[in-house]
Amino acid sequence: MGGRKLKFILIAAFFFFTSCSPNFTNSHKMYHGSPPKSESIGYVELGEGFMLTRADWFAKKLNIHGDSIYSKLETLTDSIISGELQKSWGLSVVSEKERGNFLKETLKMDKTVFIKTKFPQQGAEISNNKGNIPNYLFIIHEYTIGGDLEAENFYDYTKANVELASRNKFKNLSIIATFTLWDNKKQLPLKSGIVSVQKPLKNDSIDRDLYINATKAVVGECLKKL
Amino acid sequence: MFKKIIILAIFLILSSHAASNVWKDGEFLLWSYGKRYISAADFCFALRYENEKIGNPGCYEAGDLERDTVASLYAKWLNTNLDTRLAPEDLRPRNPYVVERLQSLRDRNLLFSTVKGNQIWFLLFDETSVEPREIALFPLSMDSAKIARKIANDWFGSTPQIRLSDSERAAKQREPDEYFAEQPMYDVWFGIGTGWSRAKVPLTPNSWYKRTLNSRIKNYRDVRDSTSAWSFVEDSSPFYSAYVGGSLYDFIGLEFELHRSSHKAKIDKSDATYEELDHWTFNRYELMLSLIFMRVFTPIPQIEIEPYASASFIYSFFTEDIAFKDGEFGSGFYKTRFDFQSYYTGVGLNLGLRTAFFKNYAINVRTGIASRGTSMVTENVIGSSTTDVYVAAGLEYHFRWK
Repeated sequence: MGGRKLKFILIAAFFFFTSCSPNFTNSHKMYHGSPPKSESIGYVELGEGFMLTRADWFAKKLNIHGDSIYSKLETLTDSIISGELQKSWGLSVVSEKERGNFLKETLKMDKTVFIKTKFPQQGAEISNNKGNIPNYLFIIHEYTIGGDLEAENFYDYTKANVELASRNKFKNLSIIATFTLWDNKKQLPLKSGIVSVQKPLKNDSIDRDLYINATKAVVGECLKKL
Repeated sequence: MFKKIIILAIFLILSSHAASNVWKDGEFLLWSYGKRYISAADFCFALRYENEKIGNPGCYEAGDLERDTVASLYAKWLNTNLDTRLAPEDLRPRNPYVVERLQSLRDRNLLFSTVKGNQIWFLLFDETSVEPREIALFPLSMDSAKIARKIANDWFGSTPQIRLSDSERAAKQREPDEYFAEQPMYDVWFGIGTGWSRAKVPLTPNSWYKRTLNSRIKNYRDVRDSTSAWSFVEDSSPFYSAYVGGSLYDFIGLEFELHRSSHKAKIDKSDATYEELDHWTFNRYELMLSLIFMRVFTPIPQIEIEPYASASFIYSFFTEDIAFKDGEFGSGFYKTRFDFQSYYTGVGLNLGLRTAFFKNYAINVRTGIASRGTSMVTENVIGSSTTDVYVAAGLEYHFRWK
């Protein structure tokens, strides 16, 4: 009888641990914790990093025209993220144009988990919109919005070929983001991570508030990982 | 403070994970970020001073890299980030252009140097890796000639290799991976051997052979059962052999072998018929062609152990050697005496172990079972089913090459 109970607990524990969201991060040797509040940090606008899956669905639900859903949602997201980050540091914005000069790389997070990153050049300091050089940059490499998305399916190559059924109804609004805190003075990727936020949807509908909350939650998750 | 300087003065080599490539008459590029501390001429002098085998090295200032904006950014980054806490892999360039520049160094060594604080850093790059292969750090107070000699000795002090020409480099690049570069191992051998054969298979009951082995020839021809040659002649006999063989990949081979053995006719000595006889023997000759499968193990470089199994096709015949005592001319029975078939064919199964010393010399031991018969289906063919087992040992000489 006792054996059965133990077995149940073990199985329950297994499911408990496996159901937790992945905690994939990568720290540089020279990383010594989140920068203090006084630090100047440049938020690099999402630009190409912004990815909306099921754009039609979002356009319909948010009542935005399909042609402008991308740009409108991206602008909204940028402003929410910079607003949130402002609470933690002295924030400035780095134009998405700078992102175009960044170099593509692949960063290993775990044995089978890799993220695509865009980092500034070694030796080059990036200036913000006002022409000043912040000490750090907060770079979001990929910001993926959709329904019922799993971060592992995006970044774990062993699960990359998981076929997702194209569903019309979603249980959750999902946002998956990969980010890096970049040392702008020394050009080092101090801390990188993958965050995933799931917000339950009621009656397969979404409104602006839900989206804003989800975006804020993403920023919160990122800050937690720093 | 003074103590600290002393400790710093004892140079600090951070990494020496792999020996650098030292080339005879090699080329050295000196890439400085900021002040040039060691001149190209001084470095070449130090190289020749520290390693007399190094030939006539060429040292150049890497002006090309120093003027390159992207490479300079990396140099600036190195200057910002060089830190004793960082490992070489933390210092690799991120920009694919710089990576490409480093990988196109060919057989040149690139020596990067930069002054940081009151220290000077030296990083060695070559084409084999994008991260610095060697890192060293010296206090600025140290004499630059001394630093040059220290670097020359620590990194380029070993015996130099000959630089490869363009075509040699190209050939080396096309060279398959060692695991795919397997070439057939050819082995050809000849040997002589001796052994003993008999009809009785070990661990089998005597009763199987009793009838045959106890059989005696009456009147030069009569036996109770003529199917086995061992009813007529002695089965237990030494044999001598000579053979040649060859194998491929140390796995499959062919061997051709000649056996000769001598077998006395089993006459009933108490029979008066044979009083005229001086001796009556049969020589058996066997030609064997064997297909061999083997494995080679090399426990120590000088010794190879090669277990093998083979199957033989046998072509066998007997020759008769008979003579009378002086003054005897043979009875009527003699004239109608038995004779073996002109030839027999058969198969043999063999297991063996060959031990080779110094590649060329080998001792071979083997055992097996062989059976010969005739293709004729008619009854009463003499020796139509003759089986024996044997053990043998041989001495061989091998020609082995790839």
